[in-house]
Amino acid sequence: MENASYHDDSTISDDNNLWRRIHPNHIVYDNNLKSYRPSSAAFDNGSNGSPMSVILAEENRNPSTALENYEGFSMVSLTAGLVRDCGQGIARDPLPEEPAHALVFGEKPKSIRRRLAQAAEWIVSPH
Amino acid sequence: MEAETVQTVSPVTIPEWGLFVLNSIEKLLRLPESWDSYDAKQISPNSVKTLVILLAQSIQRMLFDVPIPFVVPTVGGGFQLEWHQSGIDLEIEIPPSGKPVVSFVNVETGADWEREINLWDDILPTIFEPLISNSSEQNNRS
Repeated sequence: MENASYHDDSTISDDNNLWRRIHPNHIVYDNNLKSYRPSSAAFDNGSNGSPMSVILAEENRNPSTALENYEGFSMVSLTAGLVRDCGQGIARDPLPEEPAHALVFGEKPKSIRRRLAQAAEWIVSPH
Repeated sequence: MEAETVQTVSPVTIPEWGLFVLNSIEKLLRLPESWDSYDAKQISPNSVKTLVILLAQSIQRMLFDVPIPFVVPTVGGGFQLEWHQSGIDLEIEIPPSGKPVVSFVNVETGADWEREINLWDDILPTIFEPLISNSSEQNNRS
């Protein structure tokens, strides 16, 4: 994949929520927190280096609509502010099948992935 | 009459946690490309090789009482072993190529570090012993 130049979109406010789909294989039980949560492995860039995909939450949109055709997946939410605090940028990347698609770009060392995993909140819980 | 020479081989005990990991990997090897709905790769045979070395090193150092981990595939074709218990967060990421990366947090001692490891260095007891010790203490208390 070519190295694209991404720019953080300031029209996405820090309060904006970002939704991330979570595969069942990426769910762990954290006995320290006494709850299931996503693994840090769920918050990496793509295998070819492409930025991490998210969906920009929209008011009045049911999060479950973002999981149509993704049976067994659950979903978490992160705030744009937290993501930026982790040294990431956010760029809109609308797709025909998902106009609210966006990219979280930036290096994601393990420490960042762990932080995102621990901050993520379930909005569509695992079954 | 000549005495027969008999060779004996000591049986190797594979710890419960090791068997669990191997069974988990067997299932994860069946994941197709893009299994995560993005562009995740299939598990790489190289990462399985590294895991076997890690298990062999653990057996050699008698690390039998390691609690059972979560085994999670990574998008690049590796996987990670995770433990989140007894005040410890331990993740061992086994990449498709290169050295494993360990991240270790112990809330009680304040330890919080992350680094690449060389499995041929005697690092595994350092990583696993706090987890074994804390888990054993917690079991004794309950």
